[in-house]
Amino acid sequence: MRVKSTYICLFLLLFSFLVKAQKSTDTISFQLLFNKAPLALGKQYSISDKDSLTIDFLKFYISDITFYNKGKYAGKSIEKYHLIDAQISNSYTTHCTLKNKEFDSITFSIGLDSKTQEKGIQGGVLDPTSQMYWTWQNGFINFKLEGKSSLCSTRKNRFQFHIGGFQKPYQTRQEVTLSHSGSSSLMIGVDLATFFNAIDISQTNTVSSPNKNAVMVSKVLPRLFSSHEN
Amino acid sequence: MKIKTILVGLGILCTAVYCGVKKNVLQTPEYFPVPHYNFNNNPTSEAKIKLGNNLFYDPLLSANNTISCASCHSPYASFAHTDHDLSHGIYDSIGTRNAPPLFNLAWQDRFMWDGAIDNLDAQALAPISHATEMGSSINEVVAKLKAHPKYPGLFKGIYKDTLITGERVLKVLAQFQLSLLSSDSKYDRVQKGTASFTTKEISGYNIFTSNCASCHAEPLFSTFRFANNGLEVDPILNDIGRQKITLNSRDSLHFKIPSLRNLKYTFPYMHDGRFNTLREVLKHYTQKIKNSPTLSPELKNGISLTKNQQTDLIAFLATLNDRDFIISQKHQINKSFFTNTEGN
Repeated sequence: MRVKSTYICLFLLLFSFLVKAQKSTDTISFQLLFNKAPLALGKQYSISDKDSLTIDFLKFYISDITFYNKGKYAGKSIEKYHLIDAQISNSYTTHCTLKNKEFDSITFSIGLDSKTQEKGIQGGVLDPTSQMYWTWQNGFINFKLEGKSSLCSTRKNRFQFHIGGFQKPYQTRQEVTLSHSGSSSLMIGVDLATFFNAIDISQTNTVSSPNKNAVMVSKVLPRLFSSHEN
Repeated sequence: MKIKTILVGLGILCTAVYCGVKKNVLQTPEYFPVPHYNFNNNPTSEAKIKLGNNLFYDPLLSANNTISCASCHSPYASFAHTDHDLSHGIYDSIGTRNAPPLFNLAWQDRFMWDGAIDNLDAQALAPISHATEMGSSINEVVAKLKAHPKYPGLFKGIYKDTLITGERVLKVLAQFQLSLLSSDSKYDRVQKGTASFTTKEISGYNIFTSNCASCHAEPLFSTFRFANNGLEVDPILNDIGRQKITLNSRDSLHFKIPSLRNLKYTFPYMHDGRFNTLREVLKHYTQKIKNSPTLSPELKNGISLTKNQQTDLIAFLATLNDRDFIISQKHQINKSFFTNTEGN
């Protein structure tokens, strides 16, 4: 009995060394920004001489983070899905396993793949209490942004972007590829000002179902992301 | 060697238990097709069904604790809402569609009259959140369940911890709904060889197969696809049906084809509950089909049936009423759960 447990301990020790030798864990952080400064929920941002906006709610899924080095697979995020919630700073960071510290590009999706979408109700960050599963139809919202602006002639000047849809012809998951130089850990900037530069919220301010507008808005999203060295 | 044998044995045992559990609840007749529902994502158990039953009958699911699922889906109406053309929700709100009956749901791939939801687990989110149904949210429901004197223990009995999540609540609710199996009508007994049709019923069956079966296919009595059955559009509701979901004009006025089982209990009929009797329904199909670009091709020329043929058809449809399903105790409210709630 004693011999056996010694063997097991030895084996576990060896195994952990092997794993350690092959892979290292790293973190990847998303930094929510507005015009390159940290985003503050509820803060009034001027967007012109007379107009301003505030962002009250921001949540989005990032999935399948994958690292490449010279075109070859170099690692991935530990969790397949990651939900970034502007209200929870812990959610800005996720852990990844890298073969070694070297990588020169990173790819990920904004939103969830159709296989995950089709599976419906799931747990963890996909739990419906995350407020990212539609209630009146099936499917997850990939990117949810809400706030107010003097530009919106809606009730209480609200804008509401619930961007989702995974079935043809309204697919809204978007892929992002960022290049990265150096070997330090990665910080990814997500600048919301880019969103409002690209989308005229006096015209398009309420998108809450899979449709043409949702696809149009989703195509803007990759432009929000940029990589910085830490 | 020994460990290997034990592991293999354990594997076989687990598989056997797992399959046993899977078959246990849905004891479906062999003439039923393979269910659509993916049980691997939500294996069935009696404990889940019992807990799902409690949730189904619990008004805690609504914002002001007045409306339960059973408010609009009564067991005595085959889980539809007798006498209510449109659904009747929180604060006396009236919805825009008729509450459909609930049975044989494992064979259906889309829910709601417009098929907005393709996943039974997710379906309950709609009534829980809708302002004119339960006016709550899954977050609110989870919070109330966590604070409840009984529910945490019941969840622990199933999931081995007291954690109550949105996923668990919805999957447990789905379990109860999956257990609503209607397969004991006279029609079913004829299929099983323990009863036989009368001459009138046989005549009705023949009329059914040549006029109705392309949409209301046996043995579930629906293809569960979507079709425009030629109803005049209600000018107040102005409901375009499935087009609202697909945004495709070809789906204009398409609604989910309902099963013809249990019609005795599920009146009024149609997506807006406009007809109170089967005679009115047949009058529609034989005389009042409204032509439009999306009308079901089978109905282009209406259905031609004499009064006697209609009587025979109705006699056949009556063989699809499943009284045992309606009175089955296991589908009813568990009164002791609600009367003995401490702290209320």
